[in-house]
Amino acid sequence: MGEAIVVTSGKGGVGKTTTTANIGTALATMGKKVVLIDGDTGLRNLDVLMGLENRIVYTLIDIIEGNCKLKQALIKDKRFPNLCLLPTAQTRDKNDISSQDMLTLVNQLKEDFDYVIIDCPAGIEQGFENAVVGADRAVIVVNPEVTSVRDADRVIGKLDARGMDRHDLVVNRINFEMTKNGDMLDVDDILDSLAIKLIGIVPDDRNITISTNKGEPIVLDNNALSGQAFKNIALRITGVEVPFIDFNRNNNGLFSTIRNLFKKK
Amino acid sequence: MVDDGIIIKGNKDGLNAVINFNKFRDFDDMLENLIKKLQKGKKFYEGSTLKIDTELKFMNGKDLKRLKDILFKEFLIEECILEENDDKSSKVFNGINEGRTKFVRKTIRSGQSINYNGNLVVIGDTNPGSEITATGNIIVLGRIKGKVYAGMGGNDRAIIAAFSLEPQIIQIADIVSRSPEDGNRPQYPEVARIKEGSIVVEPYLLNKYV
Repeated sequence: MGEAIVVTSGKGGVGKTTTTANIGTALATMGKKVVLIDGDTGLRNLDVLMGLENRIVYTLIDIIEGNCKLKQALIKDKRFPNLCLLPTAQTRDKNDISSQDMLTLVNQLKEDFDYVIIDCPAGIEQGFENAVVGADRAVIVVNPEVTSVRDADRVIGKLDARGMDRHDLVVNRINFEMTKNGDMLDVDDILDSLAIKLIGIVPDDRNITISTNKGEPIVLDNNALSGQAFKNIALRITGVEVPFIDFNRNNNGLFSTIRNLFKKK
Repeated sequence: MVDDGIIIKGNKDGLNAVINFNKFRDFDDMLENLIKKLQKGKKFYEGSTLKIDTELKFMNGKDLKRLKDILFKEFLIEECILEENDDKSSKVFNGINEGRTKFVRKTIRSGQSINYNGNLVVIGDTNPGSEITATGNIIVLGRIKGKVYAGMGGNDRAIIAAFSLEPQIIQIADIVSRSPEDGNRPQYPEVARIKEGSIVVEPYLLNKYV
């Protein structure tokens, strides 16, 4: 029996889909059987990020409506035979799927896969309910912005109300230059207000845009720091303890040493 | 007749339900009892006009909507009129020094609200966008960053205390205020209370910091 993980955030555009694609791909490189579910019916993107948009024949809605079997709708990844994508329909909307259907589907997939990763849409309406209903744990993605933190707080509250208490935080798109100058929230500020477990810090990286457009998840690029960060998140999801990458290692001058002394206080 | 907090009677204007909130723990408790009461004569209430006399301060907008939804959809009541119960004998919660207390051991996050007829202790933070309401004191072992209403029902001796008091809106009894906008927050716990008709915020121990 596998584990279902929902990737959510509340706010849009913080990197849920990117996180889903990269964690999924990283887990697949470790030999796990992984299926990614696109929960954003009507505004699907996950297929594009994975470079699989031309292979969609059947979708999640076809399974629910009985037009095809579950196996027929699953798309095998180009690179890894143990990674699958379950796309959703672009011509329908989120109210066409009921929570009950989604729960049955996720439970069915959990029997065949080690990890079922659900990409949640932005918002807290039906799409959110559907994405969350079958999940065992949640990964909450935030950007270092007050708006994103506020929405994440709301989402964590919603998850708590459903009794889901396994949630981990990914801080995405952090710019270390800006946090150092105090122009951006840093990880400690975010943890201070959300008070949940941190599972990863992903630096802001222009290569992500390139990788999205090419349909090649960034974890496949061994030189990218952000790719490494996503790999570490995947490892932590499997239960392996990995130290956080020190993004400040190039700046160990006298000044920052003194500042660190003060910080410890 | 046993007084269980809800009395339904007919008079010249139609049906009249008098709800005494002091008999119930919270809104949900009241609603459950009201439904149970109405269930007995479900057909009878169809298409009727129901006037509800109660202390409106115990209901917020969301509660009202829930109440009306149930009355209109479940019991097919035609019209619902809410009226403030002008029975002056309804008592103000008087457990300021000791009395009924609810303990909440979690962080109250944006969009969540806690409503209690008594004193309220939160072990956790209350984040921006949250609401906590009590008829007595409110103590937060953490930060208050959301809206906080104490002494609802007119108890002007109620206090609000927190390790860090930075609410969006603060209300004690009938007096409302909001945090000043200068960014300097003290590092010690604070207590808010009413002094000469306005809310004052002081260090938790006066002599220690002033």
